[in-house]
Amino acid sequence: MSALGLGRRLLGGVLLGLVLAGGAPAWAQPAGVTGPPSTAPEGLDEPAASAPLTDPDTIEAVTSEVSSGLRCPVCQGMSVDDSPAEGARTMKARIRELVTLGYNRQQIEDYFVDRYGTWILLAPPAEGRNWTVYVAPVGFVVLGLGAIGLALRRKVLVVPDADGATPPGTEPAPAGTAASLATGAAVATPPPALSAEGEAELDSYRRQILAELGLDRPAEAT
Amino acid sequence: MNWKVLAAGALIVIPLVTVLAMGFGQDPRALPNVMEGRTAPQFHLSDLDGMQSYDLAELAGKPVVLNFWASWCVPCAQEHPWLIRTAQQYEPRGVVFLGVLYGDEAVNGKAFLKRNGHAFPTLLDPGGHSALDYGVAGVPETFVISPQGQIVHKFVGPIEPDLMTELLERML
Amino acid sequence: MISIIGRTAVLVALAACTVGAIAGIYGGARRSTEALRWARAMALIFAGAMTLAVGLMEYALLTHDFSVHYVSQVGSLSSPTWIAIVSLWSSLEGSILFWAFILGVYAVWQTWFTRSRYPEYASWALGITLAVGVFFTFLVAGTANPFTAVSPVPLDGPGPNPLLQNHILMVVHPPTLYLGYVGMTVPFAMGAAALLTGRISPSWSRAIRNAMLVPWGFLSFGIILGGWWSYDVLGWGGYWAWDPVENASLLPWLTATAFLHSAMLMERKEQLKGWSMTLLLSSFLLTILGTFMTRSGVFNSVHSFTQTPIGPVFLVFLAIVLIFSVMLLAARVDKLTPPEEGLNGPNSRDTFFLAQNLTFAALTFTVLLGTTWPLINEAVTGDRISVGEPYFNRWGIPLGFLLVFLMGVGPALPWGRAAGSTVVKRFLVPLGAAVLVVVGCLVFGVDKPWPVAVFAVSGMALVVSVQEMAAPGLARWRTKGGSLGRALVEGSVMTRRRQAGYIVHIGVICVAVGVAASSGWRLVKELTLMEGQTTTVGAYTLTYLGEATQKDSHRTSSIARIHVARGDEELGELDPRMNVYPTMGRPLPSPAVRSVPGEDLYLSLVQLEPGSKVVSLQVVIQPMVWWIWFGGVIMAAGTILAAWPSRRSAAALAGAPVSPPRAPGAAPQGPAPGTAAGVTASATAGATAGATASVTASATASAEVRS
Repeated sequence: MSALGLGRRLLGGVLLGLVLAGGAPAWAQPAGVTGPPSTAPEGLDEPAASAPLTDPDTIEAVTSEVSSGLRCPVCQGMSVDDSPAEGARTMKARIRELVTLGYNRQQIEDYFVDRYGTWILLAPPAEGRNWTVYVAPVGFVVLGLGAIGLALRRKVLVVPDADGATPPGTEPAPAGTAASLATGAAVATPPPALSAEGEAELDSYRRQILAELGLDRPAEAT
Repeated sequence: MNWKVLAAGALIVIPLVTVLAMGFGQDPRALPNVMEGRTAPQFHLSDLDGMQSYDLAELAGKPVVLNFWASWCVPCAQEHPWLIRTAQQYEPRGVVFLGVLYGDEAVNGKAFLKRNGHAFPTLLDPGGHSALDYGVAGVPETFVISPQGQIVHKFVGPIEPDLMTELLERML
Repeated sequence: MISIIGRTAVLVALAACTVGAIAGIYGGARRSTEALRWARAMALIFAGAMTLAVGLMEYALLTHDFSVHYVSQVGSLSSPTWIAIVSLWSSLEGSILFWAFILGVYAVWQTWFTRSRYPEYASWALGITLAVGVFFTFLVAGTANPFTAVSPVPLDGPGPNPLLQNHILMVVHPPTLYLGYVGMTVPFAMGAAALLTGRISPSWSRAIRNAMLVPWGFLSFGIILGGWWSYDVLGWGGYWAWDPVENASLLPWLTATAFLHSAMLMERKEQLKGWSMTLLLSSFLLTILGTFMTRSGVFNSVHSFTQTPIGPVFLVFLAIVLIFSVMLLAARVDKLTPPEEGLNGPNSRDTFFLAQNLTFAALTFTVLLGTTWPLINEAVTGDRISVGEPYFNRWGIPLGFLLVFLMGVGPALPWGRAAGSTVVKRFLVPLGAAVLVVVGCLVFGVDKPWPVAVFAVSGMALVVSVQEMAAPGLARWRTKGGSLGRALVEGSVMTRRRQAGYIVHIGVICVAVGVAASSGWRLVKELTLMEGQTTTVGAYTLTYLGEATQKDSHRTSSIARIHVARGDEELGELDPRMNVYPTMGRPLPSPAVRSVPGEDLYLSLVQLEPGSKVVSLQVVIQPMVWWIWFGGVIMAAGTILAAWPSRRSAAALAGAPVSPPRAPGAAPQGPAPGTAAGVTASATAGATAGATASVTASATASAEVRS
């Protein structure tokens, strides 16, 4: 396909792809392998989804992941993972305990939502009305792409190529516009006539500009 | 007059201004109160000396006032005297008053009580597990639990005396 | 005494604004130069009165005159001098006074650069600016009056919020941000003036873009400073939390940046006029929305003031300017002259400008939606939910990446349509750079996907920017010969604007790289140390030397002295501290940061009990945070370079009528109005590669030298 089409498709694809990458809900849950049932700690009615964890780095990593999705109840908008506040650190310690026991992210989140309300989640759950906030940006981009497509499809008035041919899908520039002047096309309604000296001067200036811009050497002009 | 632009503009402006206006009168820092009306979570905690332990299940049939506080909390100190008086008034009538230390050390708690007096035991909550269970976000917070084990009311911040008295009377 | 004079000065300002607004609008509608002169005079009086008011307030703060209401709220005998000065903007009333003052300064600036020019626009624009001034002076005179007399006069005051006393950046961050915010009024007024008259002349559109550069520069730098302040003060080692007020400052920046780019299309090709105007008006509207969010108490934020009666007044003003803007756009957008040429297809810069504008618009929409969603949800259902970092990052990261990608692609493409082969040739080197970066990363074990992707497109964008910066010099060298160095210098000097634009791009690249690196490899560890104990975190060895105490006039600090080493290298001592302010119950931690281009070592105290010989601290190690601040400085430098008035641009702004070719040696070079008829007319002898006219769109496929 032509470079035109390729370019357009590539751009549209990249845009849409990146946006959808952001739009798809990303609830990655560790596969729950139910180990031996452990006594549920106070407050949690169900046993852990998987066996207790032992590797401190994994524990830390999972704790960090879960607590960065929960909101510090005493701060203004900071996550439990980031906040140095007392209440947040207590919460984080508790999360660490639960993670060590094998509870997964969904269970821990459900527990805190049960005690504090949906508000404790730093991103609204993708259900009910809250779908809007996840879908709307994607819709916006799609609409925008459509608008751009329309804008580009509007008739493009373009300069004929160096050899005078008009590229397909375009119209030759009406005489007298900037586009036609560059190629020296005949002007339908000529501007007030200049004297011979004026004409010569004009011509030399034009040549000078084209020289400066490197357009007098056709080989380099592309 | 470009009607499309006008419509688009109206579609953005009117909801935006309305929503912002509705935001007045709400306190953005107030936390949602989800625990009211639900069964009070169980706890099994010991007091500051580690001598006696208290279990919510054992207190069934009696109204319970559960007060989360800390020695560094200024409003807690302010409500403390009133709480003592109220405890002295209602404990003989069967209401159980319990304090829970939040985000603090036992030694600080004991020093505070020594300075300011006490009329009911304060419990130690290691790791803040019970506080998290009750959805506590700060201190002071006080829970009024019915004899049937329901959280009848949650005070966020200092207790409102009139409301507390009314609730206690109603439960007795 | 000060109360009375101060209040009177504010009332004078209010009166001047009112008269000036009416005069300006009348002058615009009736084309009366007399009315314009009145408006100009009123602008000067407005500025003078506000300067006096602010001067008086500073004097009152410095002399601790507690008879003035505002001083009794934020002043304190124990505050050091610098805090006394900055408490002007530390609390609500003072900040509105400050706002009105800066608006006065901008109004004078507007009067100056529209002097004896733009007769059909100047009056309208000034009228609108002064109308905005009416609102703010009205606030200062009425609801938010800082000058009320207090009686009986208290002996001392509480001092400003301790969070604001913790760091020297408090001196620069708010004023810079205000200069950005308030300044948006000027291009707004200019855009509204154009819409009211029904046409945007090329010289006026150029002037608007120039006028936008100044507040945009301040806003960019102010936002970076805010991140820096957050990093250095709040103790969590982060610089951006998607806090509602942070978002509020970002929104107008996004639309203003989009405008600066789409305005180029507007100037060159008369394209996208309606869209550019929408962006322009939105930038101002978003600043008003932003300031509403900060001051109304409706949003929960680190920044927000408590709910005051000011909120509803602001909302009314916001509604008014919103309705005004929408109606103006709807009524006038069809009158704006349609373009002579269409947009060029996908292989031209046009398309990438559109894509970039769409990206900015999408980011603006998402951030605005996310910030207001809790409010919307609560209004509809009564439930409270949170929309925080995870949500914003989900969109912010891909869209931010896309912007850097477009920065690496767009500038390399010509304005006109280019053949496929041209495109390929131009992209070889930048793409090669991107591939090299990816390979290099993988070789060194740097393998996280998003950061590596950002590094790759940053490399591409950097190469493209340098390529484009060198292009005028190279073209000049090729046609004129001589030394390459000299040609590069001369070529760059003549295309100052374009070079400045690319310098700003390079600054943005630095910020992007810094953000990607620091968030990709962030290490956080909490540890407890006994006195004398040593531990290792990452590559660093930390030893707790002991505690120290420092008593200042306004606070007491407990300091933990930590010795830092890396391997054999001694890195000195870091002193994180806990500051205790008399008005605040719990102490505020003040972190200690060792910031070098490669990596930041960040220590923040969690607990330091005096005399306990034990310290609990949080250690955060993040690579390349320094690049974020450095990038901000580069952006500021680029903006100054772009906005600096010069003989050339002054003449170009003058909108000199199209004239026949002049004698050799004369004449303004540099950017000139992009009118189609300007082709031969503004060409003069000695016109160089820093071409004056936008000769033609497509014929200059290769040697595109203007920015």
